[in-house]
Amino acid sequence: MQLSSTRLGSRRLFALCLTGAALLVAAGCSSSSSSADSTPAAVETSAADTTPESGGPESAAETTPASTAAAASGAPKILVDGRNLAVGNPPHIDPALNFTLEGAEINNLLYDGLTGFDWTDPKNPKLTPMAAESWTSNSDATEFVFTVRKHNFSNGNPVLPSSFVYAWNRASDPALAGTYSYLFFNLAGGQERVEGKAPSISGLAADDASMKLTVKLARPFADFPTVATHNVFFPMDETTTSKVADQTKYEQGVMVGNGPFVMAAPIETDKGVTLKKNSTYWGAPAQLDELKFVVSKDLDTAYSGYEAGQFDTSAIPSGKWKSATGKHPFVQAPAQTIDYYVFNAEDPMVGGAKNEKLRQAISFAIDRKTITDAVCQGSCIPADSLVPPGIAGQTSVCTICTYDVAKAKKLLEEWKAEGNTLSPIELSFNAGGGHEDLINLMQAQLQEVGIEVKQAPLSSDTYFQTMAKTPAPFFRLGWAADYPLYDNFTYDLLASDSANNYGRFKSTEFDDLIKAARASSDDAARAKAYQDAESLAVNSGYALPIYWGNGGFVFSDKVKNAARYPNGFANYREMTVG
Amino acid sequence: MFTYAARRILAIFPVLLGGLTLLFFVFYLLPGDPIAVLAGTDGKRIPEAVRANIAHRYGLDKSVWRQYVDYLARLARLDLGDSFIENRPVSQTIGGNFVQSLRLAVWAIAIEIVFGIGLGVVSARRKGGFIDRLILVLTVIVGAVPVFVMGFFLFQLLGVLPYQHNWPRWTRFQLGIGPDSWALGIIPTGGQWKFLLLPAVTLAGVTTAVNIRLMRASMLEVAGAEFIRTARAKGLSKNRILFKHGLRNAVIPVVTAIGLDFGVLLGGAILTETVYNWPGIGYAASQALQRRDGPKVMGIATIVLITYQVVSLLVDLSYGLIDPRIRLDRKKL
Repeated sequence: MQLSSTRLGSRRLFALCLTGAALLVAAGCSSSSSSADSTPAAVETSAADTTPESGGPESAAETTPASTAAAASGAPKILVDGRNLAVGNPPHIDPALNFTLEGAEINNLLYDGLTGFDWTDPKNPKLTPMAAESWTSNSDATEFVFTVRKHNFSNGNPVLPSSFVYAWNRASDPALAGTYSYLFFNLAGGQERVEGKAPSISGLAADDASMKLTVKLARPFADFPTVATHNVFFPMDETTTSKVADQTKYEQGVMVGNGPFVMAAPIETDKGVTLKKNSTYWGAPAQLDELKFVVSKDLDTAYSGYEAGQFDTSAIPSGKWKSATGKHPFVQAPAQTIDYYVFNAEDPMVGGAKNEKLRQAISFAIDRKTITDAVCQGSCIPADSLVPPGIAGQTSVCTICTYDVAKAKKLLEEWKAEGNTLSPIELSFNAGGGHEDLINLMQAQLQEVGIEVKQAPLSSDTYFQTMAKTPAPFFRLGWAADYPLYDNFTYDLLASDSANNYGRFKSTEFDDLIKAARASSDDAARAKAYQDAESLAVNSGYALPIYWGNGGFVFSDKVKNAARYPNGFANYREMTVG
Repeated sequence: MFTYAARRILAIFPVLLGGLTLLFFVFYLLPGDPIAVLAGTDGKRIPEAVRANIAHRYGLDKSVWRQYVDYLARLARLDLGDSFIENRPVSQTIGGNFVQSLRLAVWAIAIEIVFGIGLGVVSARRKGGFIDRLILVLTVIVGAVPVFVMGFFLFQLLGVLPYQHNWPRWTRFQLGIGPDSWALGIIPTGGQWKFLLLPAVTLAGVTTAVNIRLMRASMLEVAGAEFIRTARAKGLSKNRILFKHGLRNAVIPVVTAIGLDFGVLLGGAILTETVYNWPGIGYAASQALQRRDGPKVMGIATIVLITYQVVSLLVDLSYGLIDPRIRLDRKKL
């Protein structure tokens, strides 16, 4: 998704993001024994590869009786969250319709997808089996077979392969018109379904007897199991949803899922929603008995409420970062977002191979460290790749992201010597998104090496529309992961057939590398191909990474085990109060 | 008076039609891409097929004129349509917000009447004295502080500070609607007042300051009028002159101001509602506007416009009661 605001802590305008359930170590371990046996031919990706070795069964054995004892002894463990819904009512919570991070945080507690993420080590998240206990793919990554774990929805109905087929056909229904329905374009027949040309997705087959779900893809995509962590792929209990005549209204009632929490009552406008522990959850049980998400109207308001003791957690308003982290318990983790600047590849002065040195000179002239220190007060990290840390394959791809005035001047002189003349470069950005301070600093730094930049702020209402139609020579963009995948930061941002390639970067070599990466089932080879592709765009200076987000939140003294996942969620599957 | 009232009530309809038509087109001609806002993509570009599905779901694939005609047809059937975001009838979704705003506005107006008129009269009576000057200084300060600053400051002082210093529970104020318990629909019960007081005071703050000044000036002007001299010559008591003759004459402009304030407070308390998490109509309107929830924006506008018209009618009618010299029917003028 595109980011228009720098207020990473605030989630304002964070239109959606990745989902991805985090997993208790114990939950992952409990699955490894069953999945290790099943080793069909072709490429195997099982729980045994991805689950941490130690600590699982033991920790489950310790925590389970403790929490039940606490619950039995009276005081229920209740946590009041003022953070997630700090900026108003979530537009949707139905997994098929949701497009916000806040909605995703809620439905990720109510549902488990086939796969999820174990974020225990935020620098190295692991894709983990959830509702699927294992999966296999064919050699060119066009067909996946998931073995669904024997478990139930919270109402006791079984979660079957057909629950997924039903849910996916529901979520791709053109009448429902879910924003993320386009993720089904990855499936054979998915695009036809979304376009209303087919009654169902043709590439799906469920065998409930053997618990196998077979998914045929429209084109090779080795990382499909990571894409499948998105909430749009969650299973649905048909007997529950079918009681609602109009599926767009399902989210107005109590949604029934297979996750560690259940809804106590329907979500209420201006109030919020209360979740209760699912006592029949297949994995490690939640530590909290009750989790209340309370709606605030504004981040500053929510933070005041936290300071007055009404909420146990809150995000931090941008201006209060320093004072908040100084006096309250606080957790932080890199967020999966990038703010970057692109050049219009078709512009005569900055685009094309002949202007590569000018673009590189600009990149060397930018002191990312000084900028981020001055602008974010610790809520962002200087970037040397478009891909944020914590995504498989991520590395320091950018070789021109260092601050080197001498190199910048030298490159600029060489470029001029080749017969080019420099006139002020127009720099566009969405006004009011909080980018002004950063751009002022950048402008001053470029001035120092003799590059004149002319600021051209545009109304944020029309900024992206304008950049899509007539890109400025040099302009600002931002992106947050839809799912934590290298592909989401390379194909989506720079492929010649991607609608989000605003700078019109065009390279057949890049497109071929992405294709090769998608078809490769070898993790190392795939990562290499993605890195090489990114390098083509970044090191020729077409896309300049500036900073990654670094999000955090404060919590009250009674909260235990607090952590923030890189996708922006709190670890409510493990957090507790005491 | 009844003819006058009837004429005014009939006049509401063209005003409403004109206002809503204007708003409809302004809303639909706003720059930007409503489908992207409804899809929540905020700059991210999604496939055309998905955009088409979303446009179709919300009826945005029809022409603006068609949408306008449909809107009027619905309005004629007293149907405000379904909210895009909440996906239920607008009348249902905004009813609760409207009631909460009404409660807040009524109490804010009560504060405004008591303090605005009261302190204005005191100030006029003690013209030039210490109390007058004190009140003047206070009105300048309160009138100059922006509403959200005032709200934030009051809550820091009476909500955050007591909690962080572990003061007794009764000293602590909190955000939100609270227990939502009311007697006769309007009188706070069961601890509700602790959630109501701060937003009501904040909301009343600026306008009360203005009304104190207005009341004072108006009182002083009336004090020089001939009928006051006459009353004094008749040997009436000072209080009788003040309340029976002075106040009744001087209060008219203040009643006008307070009446108009009521309409504004009802629909425009966005900042106060935001700072105190009060689930009112002002914030609902601003969020609906941000999220391009057309039916909800139009629905709220309809309700606020009608209320505003009714309130200004009541204000006009009240003149006749306050000052018998004012005759509202044309033929008697």
